[in-house]
Amino acid sequence: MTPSRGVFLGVAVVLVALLIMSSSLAALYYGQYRQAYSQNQNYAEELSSALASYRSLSGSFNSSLRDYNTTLSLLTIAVANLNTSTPAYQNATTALSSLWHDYQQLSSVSGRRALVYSAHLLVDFGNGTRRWFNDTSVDPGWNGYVASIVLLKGNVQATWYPQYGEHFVTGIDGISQTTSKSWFFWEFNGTSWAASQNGADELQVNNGTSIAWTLCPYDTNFNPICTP
Amino acid sequence: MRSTALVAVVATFTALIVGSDFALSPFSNVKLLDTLVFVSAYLFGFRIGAMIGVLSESIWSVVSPQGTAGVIAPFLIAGEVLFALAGWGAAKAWGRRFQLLSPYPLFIGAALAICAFFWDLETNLATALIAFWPAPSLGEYLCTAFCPLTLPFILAHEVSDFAFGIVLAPAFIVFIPKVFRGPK
Repeated sequence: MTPSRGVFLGVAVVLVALLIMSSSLAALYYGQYRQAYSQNQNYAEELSSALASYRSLSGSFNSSLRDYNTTLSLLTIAVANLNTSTPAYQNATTALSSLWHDYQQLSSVSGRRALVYSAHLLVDFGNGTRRWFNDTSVDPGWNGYVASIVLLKGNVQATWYPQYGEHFVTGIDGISQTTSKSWFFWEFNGTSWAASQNGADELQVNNGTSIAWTLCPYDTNFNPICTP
Repeated sequence: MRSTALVAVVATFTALIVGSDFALSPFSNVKLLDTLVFVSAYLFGFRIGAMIGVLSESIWSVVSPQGTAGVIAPFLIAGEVLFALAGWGAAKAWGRRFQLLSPYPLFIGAALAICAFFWDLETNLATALIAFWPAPSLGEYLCTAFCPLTLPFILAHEVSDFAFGIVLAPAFIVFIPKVFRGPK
């Protein structure tokens, strides 16, 4: 039995209609696909550009951090050679502590831990008051005097003797030496405290170094009559 | 002394002083500088001794690993003239009578130790002037000049100068003229 001509035409019309509909849908989805692809390309380019900017900024940040550290080191060297009564010295010693704190914060933001030493500082005021600064970060290369002024936020009074390359500390935290008591610098040698003969400027602070300042009476040979 | 010989002597002594300063820099306040300035003044006269002292201390004031000396440098340099003066005075007083095995080396050691004391005193007074500028009180001068904490540095300076004075200075005074045929 052969289909009638009407059925044949009906099927053909339906098929053509389906073809037109599917083509229209295909065209619509292709258009949307192109649009989405184009947007994706834009986003990818933006992302790529942002990544390049980020890498550039990250490089600049790390470079700035290195410069910061170098500047800080140079500043500490300069401070260690300045006349202690000059405003420059007083301003710098006060600022050093916060600059060092900021540097450590910036280092941690960068995801890297700054290469620092851990040291301990004790200040014994000779009247029962003792202040400990345990496991405190110090920059490699600092001497005992620089570490002291940074950790004590610049509250160290001293006279600079350039001919000896040494600071003689006359007061800490506003507590000055007297006619019978003087500030002495000590280093812990692993078993006991030993009074430093050469002073704080001569001592390089290393990882784990323990140092102390004590306000002590002294004998006729200027040996301290106390230990930290 | 001919100008070429003068330049050679000043340059050699200055190089020796600055080199030894670097070599001895780990030892606080122990230097061959004073001894060599004394010896140079003894052998070649005050003018050359003073030139060597001034030049070497000027260089050291800038290149010292402890940092530049800054405003105290003129006082450090002027202090070296003391050693040149002492060397020249010793040469005038003893002349050719100097002998290695005699009390003279002790006198040189004593002279250097005394000069070291005055050098420390002068530079400590300058420290007070700089630290308490513009008008330090007498108490500040005395306190800074005779600060007990400076005692180890002063002692190291005087004892090392005394030791170098009795051992090295006499040897230099005797042997340098022999090696270099002495000043004409």
